[in-house]
Amino acid sequence: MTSERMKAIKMLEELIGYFFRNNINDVQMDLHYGETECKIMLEGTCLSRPADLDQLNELLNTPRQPELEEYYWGLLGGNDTRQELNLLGSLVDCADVSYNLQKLSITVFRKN
Amino acid sequence: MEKSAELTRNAQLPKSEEEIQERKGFVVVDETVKYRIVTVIACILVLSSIFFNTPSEILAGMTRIVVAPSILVTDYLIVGNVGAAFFNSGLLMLAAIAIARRNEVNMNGPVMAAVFTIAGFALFGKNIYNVWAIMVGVLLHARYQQEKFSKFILIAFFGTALGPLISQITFGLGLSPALAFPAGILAGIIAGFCLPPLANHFVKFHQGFNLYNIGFTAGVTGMFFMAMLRAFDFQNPSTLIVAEGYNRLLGTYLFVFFTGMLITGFYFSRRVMPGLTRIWRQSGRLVSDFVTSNGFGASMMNMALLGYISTGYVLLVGGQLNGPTIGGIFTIVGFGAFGKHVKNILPVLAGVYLASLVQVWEVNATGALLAALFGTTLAPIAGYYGWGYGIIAGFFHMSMVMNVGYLHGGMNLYNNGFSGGFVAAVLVPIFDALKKSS
Repeated sequence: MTSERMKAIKMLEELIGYFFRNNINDVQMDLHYGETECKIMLEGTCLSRPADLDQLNELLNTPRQPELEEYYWGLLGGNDTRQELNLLGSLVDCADVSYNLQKLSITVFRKN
Repeated sequence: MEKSAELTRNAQLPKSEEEIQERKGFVVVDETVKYRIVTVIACILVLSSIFFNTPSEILAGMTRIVVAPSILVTDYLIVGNVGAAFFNSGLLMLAAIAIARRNEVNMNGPVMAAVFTIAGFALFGKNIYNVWAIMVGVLLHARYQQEKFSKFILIAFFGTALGPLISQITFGLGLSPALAFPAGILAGIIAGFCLPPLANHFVKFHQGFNLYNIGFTAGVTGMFFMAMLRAFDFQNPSTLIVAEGYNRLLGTYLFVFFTGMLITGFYFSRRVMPGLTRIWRQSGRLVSDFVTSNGFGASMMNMALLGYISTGYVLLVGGQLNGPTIGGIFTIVGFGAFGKHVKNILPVLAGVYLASLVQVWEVNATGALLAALFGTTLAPIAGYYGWGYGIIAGFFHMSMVMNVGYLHGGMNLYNNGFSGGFVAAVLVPIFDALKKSS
């Protein structure tokens, strides 16, 4: 498996962690790993709007920082107490974050 | 980078530069301007060398620096002279800036940390001979992976911690030049080639609580090389060459230097205190890019404040300002853009200070001072768990760092990063368990 696919798995893990931390236990996931772009979408029912949603939106839409990738991507995912949203933001090109009618939806895009 | 078509619909994002700045709460400084400012800082280091020595003395000093084995602790202020050491420092910083610019890397927190760290260690271990083989090794790895070098640039910059590996093999083992040069350069290229996968692997070991991750990686790599050298009966001598008696001169120099940075940061800050307090609220754990999240101005001010504090610590405990301690100060200042701030370094400094009161090392000895300054690699522990935990981390770091240098024979300049990796890896799971149960 290439490290690019591993990064996609780690990004998904990190996003699942975010949903779990917001008590969303029923999560619909969609991962598309294309030739030019990787797209990950998660959706779940959340009773109240996460307090840090605007911050998350901003982090995920900051410009990608390639220099951080190879050094730090191993930190993504796999931790039940800590978030790596800054790092996630530096690995994705852009994101669509929305909260409507108690539905939290996050889609991140990363050019391969 | 092009955005996906779907995302052009994202109405929540601000459109104009003013709106972005209003939303972020800080001035977004153009990359060109950031590069210019950091280049000016490097030029100041280069040009200030002529205040200390004449050009011919600097040239002679540089020659001695280049051929020095440079293993820990080799103060270039003694090996060369003060002017040559600062010239070497500024020159390497300029080279790093040029490489970053050529590879179209943004001058963000980690890159600023890397170039300041290179400048700092160019006062006691990195020089214009021993850094290139490591960078070439990392470059070859990037080519091998068919990736851009920019993705590996931080590893290449921080990886120059293994510079003494090249210098020691070339000049310190008594080999004939025909064998010594190729052997030293080859060792550096191999080490550089191996660093990227190792750096990514080891960052999980301490879970991002050791800011000098390459220090741990280079420590393990250096340990491996040292084991091989010892297997062929090569030994590295215990080295401690440090300058004394420059406190007034270099203290004044650093005060002016950091004041310049403070004023620059103030100029680029929209609102001073909110910017700094936003930085101080962060744990500093990897990856905390203060420049991207809090702005260039606030980061520069944070860096200057850390410069005052770290210089103040050295002087207050009766230590000496020399190549290694100023190297430590520059490294702290650099990481003021990438994880360190006033609130998270003080507990670690306090922990190391307390350790030196009850342990066998004098508080103002070179080793203890370096443990205190570079021990701030564990600042995220204080930032994340609280000041008490930071003191404990600093306390243990002091003992640990005095024990691990033998393993790599002084060939890893980031000895405290090596030690910090172990300390964080042991303490973090324990602190997590304590936090959960409480």
